[in-house]
Amino acid sequence: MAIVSSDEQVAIFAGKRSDWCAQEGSSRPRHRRPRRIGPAAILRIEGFVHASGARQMGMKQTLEVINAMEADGIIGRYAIGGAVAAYNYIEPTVTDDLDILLSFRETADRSKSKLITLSPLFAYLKAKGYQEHRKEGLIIEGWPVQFLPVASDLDAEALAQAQEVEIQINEAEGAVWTRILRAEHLVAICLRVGRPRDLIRITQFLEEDAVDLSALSELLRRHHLKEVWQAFCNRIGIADPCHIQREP
Amino acid sequence: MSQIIYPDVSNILARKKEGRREISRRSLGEKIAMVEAMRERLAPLKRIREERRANQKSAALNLSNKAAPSSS
Repeated sequence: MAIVSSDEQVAIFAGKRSDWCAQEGSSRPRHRRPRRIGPAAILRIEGFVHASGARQMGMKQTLEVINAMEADGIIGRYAIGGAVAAYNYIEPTVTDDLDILLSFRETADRSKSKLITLSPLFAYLKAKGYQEHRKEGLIIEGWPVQFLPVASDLDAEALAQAQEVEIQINEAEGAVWTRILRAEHLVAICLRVGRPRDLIRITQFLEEDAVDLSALSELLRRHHLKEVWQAFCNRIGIADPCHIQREP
Repeated sequence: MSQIIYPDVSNILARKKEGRREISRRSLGEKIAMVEAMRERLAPLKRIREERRANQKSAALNLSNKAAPSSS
């Protein structure tokens, strides 16, 4: 819940000061001093309390928490991956969790050890009251969130090239800014993971013409996924739409 | 021997396909709102499924405990 310090009325996100500044119903990371606003405005802008007095939970609030983590330096750049990112391009299917691909900011301690740990992230969220886990996800504002640190060159490229989008889930709540992986990276990551549901998602991208085939072809070549792609095409019985075999 | 005549459902399938395409064209926010509503509707079914799985798991565990020879 948002609170207000006595000496300075600044937006405090879920009990801790944040460098976030909500403006005009949108929430985008701003690395500047928060503007002074009153407690009622804080509650309204942060979306924690509905006009009826009921606490709001949902994807917008989940993304606001993650955006605050980025603004507070707990995580580096992040982007939505998995099924929720696929919603940006294809017909949605129900999913259990929100996949967040993320990087960490280089710190003096970490540059020495090169060890990546999610402990500070979980400690930060625990301090804000988010400590319930469901399967592999941590529940944040009603959505189980799975934090996936960058673990390959493909992940790193996908995160670097993720596109910034503004999502408006409903008019009353306003919009929230976030990043979404590009369609070609989502397909390549699905191919690498290779569960049946991932392969179904690839076929959806192809069927709905939601992927740039020449960009995908280049991506598969660059990340050594050509053979896996051909195996996928053989398995589902389609002619290779990327024409990888014909390439020199 | 009578021959079964099945109805032509190609129109229905075409309409369903167009419906899926229409949903695909919606904005990300609209799709998320759809899924959040769907999750709410499915929550009771999911809870029942999880309870059933937990019961099956505990029943299987009880069976294997009974089948295992005692260590004493």
